[in-house]
Amino acid sequence: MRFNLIVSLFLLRAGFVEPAFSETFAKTELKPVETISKDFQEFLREIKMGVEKKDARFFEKIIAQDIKFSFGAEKGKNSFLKKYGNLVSSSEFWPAFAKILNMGAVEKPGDGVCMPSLSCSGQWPQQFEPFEFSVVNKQAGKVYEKPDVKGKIVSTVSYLIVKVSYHDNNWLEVTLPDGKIGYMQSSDLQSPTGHRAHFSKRNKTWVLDTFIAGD
Amino acid sequence: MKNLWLLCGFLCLHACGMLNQKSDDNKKSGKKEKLPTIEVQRAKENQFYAAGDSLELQLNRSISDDLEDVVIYRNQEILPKESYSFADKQLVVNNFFSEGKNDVSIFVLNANGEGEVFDYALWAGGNDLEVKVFDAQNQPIQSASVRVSLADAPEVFSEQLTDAAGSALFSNIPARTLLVEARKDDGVIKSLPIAGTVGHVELFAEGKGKPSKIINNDFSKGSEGWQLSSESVVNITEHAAETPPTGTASTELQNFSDTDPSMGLEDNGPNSDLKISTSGEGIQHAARAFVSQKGTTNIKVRFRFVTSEVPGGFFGSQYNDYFAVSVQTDSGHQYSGNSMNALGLQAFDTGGATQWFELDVPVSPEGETVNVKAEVANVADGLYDSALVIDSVAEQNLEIAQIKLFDIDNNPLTFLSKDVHPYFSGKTRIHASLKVKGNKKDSLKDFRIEIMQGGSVVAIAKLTDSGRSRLLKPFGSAGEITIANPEFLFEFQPAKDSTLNNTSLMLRAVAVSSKGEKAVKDSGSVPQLVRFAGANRYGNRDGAEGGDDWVRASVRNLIGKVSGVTYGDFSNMNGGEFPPHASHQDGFDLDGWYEGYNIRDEKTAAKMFTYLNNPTVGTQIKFVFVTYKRDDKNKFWQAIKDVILADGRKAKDVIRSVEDHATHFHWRFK
Repeated sequence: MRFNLIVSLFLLRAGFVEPAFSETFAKTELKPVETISKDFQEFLREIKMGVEKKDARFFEKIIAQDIKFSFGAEKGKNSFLKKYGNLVSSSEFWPAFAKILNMGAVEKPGDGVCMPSLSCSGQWPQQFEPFEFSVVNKQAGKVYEKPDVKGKIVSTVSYLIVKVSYHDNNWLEVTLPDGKIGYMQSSDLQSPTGHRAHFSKRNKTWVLDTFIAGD
Repeated sequence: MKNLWLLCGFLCLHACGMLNQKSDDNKKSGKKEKLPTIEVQRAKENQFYAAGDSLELQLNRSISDDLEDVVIYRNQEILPKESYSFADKQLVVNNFFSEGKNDVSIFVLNANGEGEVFDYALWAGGNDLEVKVFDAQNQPIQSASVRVSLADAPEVFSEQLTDAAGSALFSNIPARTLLVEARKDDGVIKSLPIAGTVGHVELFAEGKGKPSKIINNDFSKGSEGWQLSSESVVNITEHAAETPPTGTASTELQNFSDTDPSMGLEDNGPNSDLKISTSGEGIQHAARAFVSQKGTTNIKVRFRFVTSEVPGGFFGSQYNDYFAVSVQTDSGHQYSGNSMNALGLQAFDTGGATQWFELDVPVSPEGETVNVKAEVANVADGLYDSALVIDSVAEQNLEIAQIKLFDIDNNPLTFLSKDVHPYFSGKTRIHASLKVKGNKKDSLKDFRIEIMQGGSVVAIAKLTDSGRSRLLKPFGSAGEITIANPEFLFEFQPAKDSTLNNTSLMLRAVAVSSKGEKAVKDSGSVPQLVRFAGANRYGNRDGAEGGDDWVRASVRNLIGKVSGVTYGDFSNMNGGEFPPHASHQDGFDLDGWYEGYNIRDEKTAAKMFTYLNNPTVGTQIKFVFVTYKRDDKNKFWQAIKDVILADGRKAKDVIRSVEDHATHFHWRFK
């Protein structure tokens, strides 16, 4: 038995056999949805422009004084700006915020707007454990046999919920609903525990009151 | 407790050298023999055995030839070794079964010299029983399924199909009280309690009796309109005052009683009950047929059993008196009956009376013929009579047609707590939508949600002021009151909850009308959350949303054994979505922090290991979520990557790497 296992592993590494299979689960797609008012649509255009220009001044104006950005003890605008290096152009804030901007948004009257839409109330299917599953955030996301963009593409998937496990900082091992295992670039996936934002209207002005990841 | 004494006796026998020394020899030689699992062949606990028959036990391994690894007790007495024989892994105890219940305890000495106990309750009898089943026209019914079950233990039964003569034969019947039930096409033809010694019983499908025109379901006219087995066994008595059941505040009690003045009932004269008593050995009954009034949705019979056998000291004996109430309508036949022994001694007060039972049967609002029959029997001798007291046969209009419960966010109620808390002025809220139907001339007087645990009411959610104004009003020409969308209708004052294990809370809606009708509807059960009230917290408590202190009882119990951790969010008051969290929905997740955590180096890892290797707490932590990079420069990763936890799990499988857990960690409990 052990000999067979070693042979199998050798063959797999050498590319002689198909990728491994794991447990299967229901095939579920989760496309971004956008249900926002005209009012917020206009504001969203300003936000996108602000992100494109990495306009720290614009964001300093819209960040709420009590912004929630961590499930730890820290909170508030000053701590937020400190965490994100005062939003200088090399700040981690910009790519993190840019990633969620085109992934849908849902406005709930009296509450505000959340984005990406998968993080909004009732959107993420409860049967998928948030730490174990992510959704492909684009059309035709590539699943590779190995964590290498030059490697063989074993599948192409769109907005599909896949099971993920850590491989390295740029790649995640993914299990597709049919149990097939491959690798995807982290940037092609969005986790329910990844960054999400919430905007509320205070004194007739939209403010960013939450920008948070983790759980 | 019984087995504890028997086990002590067994071990004493062993210690005194009365059992063989083979297992000691095994221990000395280091030989490890797998513990035996005894399977009892032909000795299932749910069937009847022939009195005098042998017991055959199938073991999965050989035991010593001289049988000294085994001791067998029957009804707490050791059986002599001479009565055993053993061959081919089969242990036979000759002439084992005695009439009635045979409590069998089998003690086996395992390879470690420890005693193992296997208990069985096996029933045996020496009586034959013929059951004949007839339809309402006295014609035999073929292929009816007849089930004869033991009143003492209804899970012990025998089942047969009737032949062309409507007959089914049973053997090995114990001399106890039995319930005989005949069914066909998923409908009950007839149920009847009998004594195991009767030999022959005939079950006649209840024909629809000629409806009485006398209106007397509440006995205000004595026994007029009722058919009695004997005039002399029936009395009309005054309804005795009732005390609240355990766990129910007296001010909350709404007794369903035919003429309870507190219910705002019309005064129909004295509040009367019909009492059917036994007179010597045998069955007595009272029966009545009537046409239900138009608009009636339910027939509710309220009754209780009283026996002099209990204060007489005969509980548990063969003098197992019984009672039965049946209601037959056009749509079927419903039955409620039991025996003294099957009810359990705790079901009786010192006078031998049970609490009030209710049999609730739906009927067509167009009106239909209803047959009610009440029976009580004195079993095995003519002494120590029993009685069945009927409070009333009520025609009800009140019905909780629909109720859905929601949490404070108007999401379906998925968790609930009965623990004390400081939010919402200390009261726990329940939202609901509902529809109640009632008589057009009646009005809704009360509506409440009873929260139950272990069969007792542990809290009562009463109507809010808004709920009272929305619900407590006449049913009007529509005959119904509806709240179509979820509203904050109920709240209750919780009390300190020290529950240690994860349990559920049963929910039951109760409506009471001004005419004294009462309707009850089960609203399912939800897992229970409890509140973590410790002061070692960081962040805000989200008071406007009912706080974020809510966990499973098991988790609260475990983190009570942990020191040095400050906690952030647990779950919401009613569980469910907790934005901006993605999980934290079911009371198993919590955020925490300890001194030095934010550095996330080898010291941070070492402290995490003290929690994960705690034999009580660590094994119950399913995952830890921490932000770290799995590269060789990362000190936290270096410290955990090759570590095996005390419970055998790999640390790297338990401590998961995730985003934005740099200033807090996340524990998920099992």
